[in-house]
Amino acid sequence: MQALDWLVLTVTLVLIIGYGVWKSRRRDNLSGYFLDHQSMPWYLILLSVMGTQASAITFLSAPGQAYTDGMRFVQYYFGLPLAMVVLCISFVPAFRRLQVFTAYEFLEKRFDLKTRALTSFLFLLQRGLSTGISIYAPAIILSSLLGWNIYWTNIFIGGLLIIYTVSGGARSVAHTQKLQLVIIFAGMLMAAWLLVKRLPDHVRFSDALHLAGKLGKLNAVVPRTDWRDADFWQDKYNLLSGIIGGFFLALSYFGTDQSQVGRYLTARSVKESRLGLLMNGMVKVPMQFGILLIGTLVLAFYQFYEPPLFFNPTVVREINTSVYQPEFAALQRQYDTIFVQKKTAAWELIQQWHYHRKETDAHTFIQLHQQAEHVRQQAMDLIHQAVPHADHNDTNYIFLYFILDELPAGVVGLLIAVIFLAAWGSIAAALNALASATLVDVYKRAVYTRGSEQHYVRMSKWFTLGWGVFCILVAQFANRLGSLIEAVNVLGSLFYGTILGIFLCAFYLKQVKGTAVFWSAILAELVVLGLYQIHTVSFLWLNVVGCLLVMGCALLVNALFSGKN
Amino acid sequence: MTSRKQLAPEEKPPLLSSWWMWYLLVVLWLLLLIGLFWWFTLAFS
Repeated sequence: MQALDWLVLTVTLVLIIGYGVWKSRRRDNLSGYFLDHQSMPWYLILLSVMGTQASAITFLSAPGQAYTDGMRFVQYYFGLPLAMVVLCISFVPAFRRLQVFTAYEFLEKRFDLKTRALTSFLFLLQRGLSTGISIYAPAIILSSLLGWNIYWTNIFIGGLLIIYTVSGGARSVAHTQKLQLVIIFAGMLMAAWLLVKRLPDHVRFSDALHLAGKLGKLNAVVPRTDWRDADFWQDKYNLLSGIIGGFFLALSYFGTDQSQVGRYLTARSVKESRLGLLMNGMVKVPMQFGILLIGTLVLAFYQFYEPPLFFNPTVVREINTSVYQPEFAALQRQYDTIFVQKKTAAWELIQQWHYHRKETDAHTFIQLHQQAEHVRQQAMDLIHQAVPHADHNDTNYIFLYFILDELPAGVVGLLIAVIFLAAWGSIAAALNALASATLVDVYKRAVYTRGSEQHYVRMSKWFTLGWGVFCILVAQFANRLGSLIEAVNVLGSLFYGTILGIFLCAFYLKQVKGTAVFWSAILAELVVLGLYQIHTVSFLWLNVVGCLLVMGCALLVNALFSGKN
Repeated sequence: MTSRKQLAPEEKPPLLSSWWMWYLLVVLWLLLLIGLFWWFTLAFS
């Protein structure tokens, strides 16, 4: 990074921290600290909900995901708009009517204390761990590519935002997210524009798309219907798993995860909450499509400029100083030779598209790409042997490598700032939610019930700080998780189905009682963890299984007990 | 549900006559996006 990059990065981060602290200058009670006195308009709800969901991983890992696996990941978001509709019909009015601080408070009013405690515990466990990953994910990438110390990077990413999150609560979180998203979108648009401009002369935007398409990377919709095939259920991203699995995951995340519920509870009315959520349903899918498209354009770019054999330079340095260096060098030579042939094949394809305007045979180009991918896979296997502690999956490094290697000074600093801001937006909301669940569901409910408002606000700040430190500690121990955007979603899927099942029982199964739901939830959670261990189904389906199991068992147990009575 | 009840003025949806119209709009938007993405997949494959 050059001096200009450091200047842009520092100014942007200081601006956000200063703005967050300025927004926190008002003295508050508990409602102000966690709900901003329910005063926010719909567009702030929209930006806050989007800023909470879009973490640094979204902007770092998603383009890499498209580069390696294509755009089919976008299907994962197809269930989200449908989930927004269900939230607006059932969840939002119920939460508002009961004037709750946390989603789990609602469960005690509907069922009993133990169901509330169990759900809140599952949330704290899941959110505490996944926030740690949200800190570690950008930290490990930045530290590898820029040579920064990983422990200090974790502390900077997870620590600086604590300043304004502790002091300002929900208001600071929402207002900084607004500013963060503006900077993030500006940065991503600039990256996309520069990427297209950096394509060689005579290579048009449509040519880049055609090349990526020929390599099977523009597979935005994969309509599989062979559900009798076992492979169907293990396939992570297709139209059906995206709509059904994605729906359950989004409903769980937005309806039962306090980091999201806490955002739309700050709205000034049910109408503002609904508008914010529905707009999120309309904006999120195209936004994700755009981010993935950037990844496929990076792939097209690297058809003309040779990419590294492996995108994590720290690991490459390690293997080059090990006994495996000759083998790695041989693979590098093979990769170089294939690249030259592939580049020629890509040029020939483009010439044919330009001058003959006909459907051309891309067989040679595709075959050479497969050969290059095969060599890359061999390199990854070698890395796995040579540097066992290292992450041998470089998906998360691709986009940042491109930024650092290809984009001009100043823009690099801005895009590093984008990564920090995206991380801060989601982490700040998570810390606020973890603190509110700890205070409202545990401390105020069971530990110290007669405190004053000032005492609870003071304790909320301590809990926010405590969770911040905990998440940084988790980040210091996280390692080797593969694609980090998937790791966060997998972790969520292990718990979300069960939590959602509890909430759906509360909303739609009026006859079911608390004890039936409580034991069904414990059973469902054990089944979900078991299914994950034996790799029977893809993680998205775990949300469906967990949810339906809670509802089915609760109905059954309730029927048995009510029959006895 | 919302459309059948008398809504308080501050809870009435903007632009459209009821919230159910908004929900329909979101679902139609999703279907349109899936259709466009499907065309995109075919056009560049």
